[in-house]
Amino acid sequence: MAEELMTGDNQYVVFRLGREVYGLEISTVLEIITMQTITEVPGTEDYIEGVINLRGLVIPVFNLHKKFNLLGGEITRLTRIVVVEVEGSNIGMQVDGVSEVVRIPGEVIEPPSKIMNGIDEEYLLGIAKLEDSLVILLDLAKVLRKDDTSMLDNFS
Amino acid sequence: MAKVLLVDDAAFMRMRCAKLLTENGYAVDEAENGQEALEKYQNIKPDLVLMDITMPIMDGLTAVAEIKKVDPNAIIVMCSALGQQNTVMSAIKAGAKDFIVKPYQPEKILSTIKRFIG
Amino acid sequence: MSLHLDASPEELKIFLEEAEEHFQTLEEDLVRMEKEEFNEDLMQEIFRASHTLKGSSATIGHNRMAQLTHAMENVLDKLRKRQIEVTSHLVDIFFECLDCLRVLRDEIINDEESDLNLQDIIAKLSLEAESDAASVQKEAETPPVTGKAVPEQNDGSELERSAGSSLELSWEEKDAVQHGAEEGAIPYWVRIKFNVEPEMAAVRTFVTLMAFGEIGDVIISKPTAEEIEQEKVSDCLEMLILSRAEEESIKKLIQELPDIEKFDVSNYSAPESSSGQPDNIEAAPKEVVAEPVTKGENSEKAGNGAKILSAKKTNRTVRVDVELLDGLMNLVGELVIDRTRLFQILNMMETEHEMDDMSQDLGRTSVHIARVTTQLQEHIMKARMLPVENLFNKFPRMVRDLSQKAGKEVDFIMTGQETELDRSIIEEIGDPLIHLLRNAVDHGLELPEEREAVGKNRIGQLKLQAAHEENHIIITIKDDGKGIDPEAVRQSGIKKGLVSEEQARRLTDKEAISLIFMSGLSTVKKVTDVSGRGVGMDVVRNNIEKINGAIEINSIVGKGTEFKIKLPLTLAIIRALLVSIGEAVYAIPLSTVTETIRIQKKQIEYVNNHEVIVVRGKALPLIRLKTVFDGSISEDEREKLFIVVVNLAGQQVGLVVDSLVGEQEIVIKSLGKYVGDVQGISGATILGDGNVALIVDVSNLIKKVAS
Repeated sequence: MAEELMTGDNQYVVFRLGREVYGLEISTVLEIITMQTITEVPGTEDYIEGVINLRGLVIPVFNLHKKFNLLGGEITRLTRIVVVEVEGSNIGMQVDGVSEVVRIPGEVIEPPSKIMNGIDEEYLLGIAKLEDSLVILLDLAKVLRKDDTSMLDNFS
Repeated sequence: MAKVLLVDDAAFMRMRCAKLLTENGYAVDEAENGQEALEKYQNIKPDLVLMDITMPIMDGLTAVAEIKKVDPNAIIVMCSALGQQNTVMSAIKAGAKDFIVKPYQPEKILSTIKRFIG
Repeated sequence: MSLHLDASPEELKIFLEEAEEHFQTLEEDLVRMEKEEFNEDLMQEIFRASHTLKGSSATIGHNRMAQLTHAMENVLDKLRKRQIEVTSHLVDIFFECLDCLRVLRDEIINDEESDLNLQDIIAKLSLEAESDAASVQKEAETPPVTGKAVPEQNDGSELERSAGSSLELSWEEKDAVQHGAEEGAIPYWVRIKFNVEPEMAAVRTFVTLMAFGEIGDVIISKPTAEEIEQEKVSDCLEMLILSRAEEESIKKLIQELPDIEKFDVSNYSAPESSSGQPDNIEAAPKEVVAEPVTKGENSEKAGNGAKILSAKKTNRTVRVDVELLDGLMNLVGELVIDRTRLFQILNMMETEHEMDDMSQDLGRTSVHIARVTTQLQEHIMKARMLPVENLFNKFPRMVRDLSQKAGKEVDFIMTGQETELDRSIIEEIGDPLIHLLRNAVDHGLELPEEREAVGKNRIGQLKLQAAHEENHIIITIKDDGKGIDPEAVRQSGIKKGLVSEEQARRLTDKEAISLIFMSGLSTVKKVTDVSGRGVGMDVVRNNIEKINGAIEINSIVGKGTEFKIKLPLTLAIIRALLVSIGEAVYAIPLSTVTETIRIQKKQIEYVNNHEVIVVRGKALPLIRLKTVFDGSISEDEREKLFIVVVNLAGQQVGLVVDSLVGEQEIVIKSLGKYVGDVQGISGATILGDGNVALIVDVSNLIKKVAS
């Protein structure tokens, strides 16, 4: 995956979380929908907002602010749910606004470094330096993976 | 288009045979036992019947006799497995025209059918 | 090593499906074969299963499976002809074959050859197949019916040697040739050498002979039609025919005939000297003119296979992929949700707007759509139903093997195999049933001597029954064994710390016995390699409750034990009671609900710091769903509370909710792996307003109270 990134151009869906700009490879994004009524599921991680009805499918919605310990996350009229497909499951991610789809050439992507505040570098594929902004490229599978330690915490 | 009625209780065998025949320009109908074959024979009047021997409800041998009763000119080719020589013989005597031995060789099926209905 | 099968994936799928059906037929029929009197229909069915497997496996090029089934068929053929007898040993061999077949089937699935060695089993089979030869001959002094023809004077070598002039014509035959020639028919002498499977040589020769019958008269042939029927054939056929056809067209006919290596056609000229002379009459064989024989001595043989089995109905069926059925069920689920939604919208229209013609029309259409949806739902549910027979099939053999191993004598009776269940439920219920049956054989039923000692029949009874009851299927497993001692379970429960002595004392016998469903309780003293009593009963219960089923036990010491399993008809759609807790709506599966009660807050009492209410003289422990789900212990301001009484595996709990919303059919949806297992929640469903409601995991909550 990383090698692929370095060599070719890829299209990314770019969205805002707090003050930062993030990108997801376009092939992983199924659709972007407006805010829905979310049904809270008791006893789950706090970054799981709950579940929604996506045309008859019940899918979980993740709150990335809480996952990454970012500021903001208030629901506004710009708040969107980005629906992605990870390992065969559909998942919603609540974001502060979706701006565009951009083509990012492999050569402007740099490997993640520790300078990023808040976010574990393991969640990142890299950072793209565009003319006017930095886009943080997320490794979706890792972001959404249920980490085992927190599960253990839940039980104890 | 010449019509062939395929009679076998194994869907697998029918599927395989039907594929071969359709690819070679025959219209194929299927029946999964002798009883159904007899009913279908009267409805669709196929040009040729490929008849399995060992089937539930009505076996191939009986079906040959029954079909011959409705249509003495019916062209029936028996599909037999090794070890069914006696039954095939009885079927031939009951009016079946020829036989093919399983496992089928595609060329053999085609040449046999061609010989009777072109 | 890969198998290199000659079949497309689609074809293999059908092959595997059919193979599984045949395996099941064998599984079931072999047990019956051992138990029952000789039954021709049964034997034919077993033979057919093996035979079809042989044909299909040979076709895809699975030679080892073809070999094994061929060897099986040889024995089965003799069995159905009663040339050999069914023995327990033979049934064992066939079961071994079945196990081998499954391994061979798995080879296809894995596309890899296994290291299964078939030599032994095939050798065992041929030994069985041979076993008749001696005995039958001794008794009846008749040659075996299927024996190969003994070569006589007509064998190949003689034919070869005398080739060219071997056909001696009788006076009548010469006359016939003469006569035909006068009418314009030409006598041809035809010699053919076949290239055919020796096993089928006779039929091939026969068919060829018949083919000539269609273009002329066969005056004489060697071998004769009679000889061919008796399988006295070689790879040659010689004949004299009278035909009006040109020599070329006769050659052309022969070229089209299959399995012919070489042939020779020439004009026949009768030896002048013998023409018209009636010599050699006695010596010449009496020939039968080869004509299609439809009646005669062989019609009896034909009649043998002509039994029409009226017992089996000939349904018109198509094969449908399970995924397609699942998809249809999901779509119907959507419709069910929209149906509810449609009526909510209609209600709103009625209350908020004037009803005009158009909205009345909409109302009527909605009613119609609702009705069609219900019917569609019923039909698709039906399409997903399979008779439990598919599952029960393998049990007789299992019980047979288990009881042999345990040294017990068991009369295993199954009823209601035709009862239908959703296929996904059938898949889920298999393991629990196996476990319960094993338990019954291992621990429920006593050894024959023990039974006799207490005045019981030495053969224990084990009954497996399926039946339809209202909106549920009830599966009962009942044995007449030693039963479960409630006192032993009580003591064990105390020892394991599952209940206090005080609690144990207060339990009714039935409640005490139900303790075996709790994890960590086992009353068994000896654990066999098969199963331990009590061990895994909690797993059985979990598996059943996972699919919204319920299990109950009744047992009387000395008389036996009965397990009753209540299952929903389908997994995907259930009836549920909707309740509200704060803002949220939750669904409680109706199958678990016994009753709903409205109580005054002051009726709540405390036992060991737990809230209970007394219902009909019995203390009912309460669970406040708000506390479970919100974590909040907010003292309820309401003076009146709603209690939903739920019951599973003999345990009752009252769920405290804010209000009752209504009863409705809901479509069960999973929360998915990213949400994971949630305490007290088994899934989600979509309500008529499009919002998601969570489904309460009653079994999980009850266990929480118990622990």
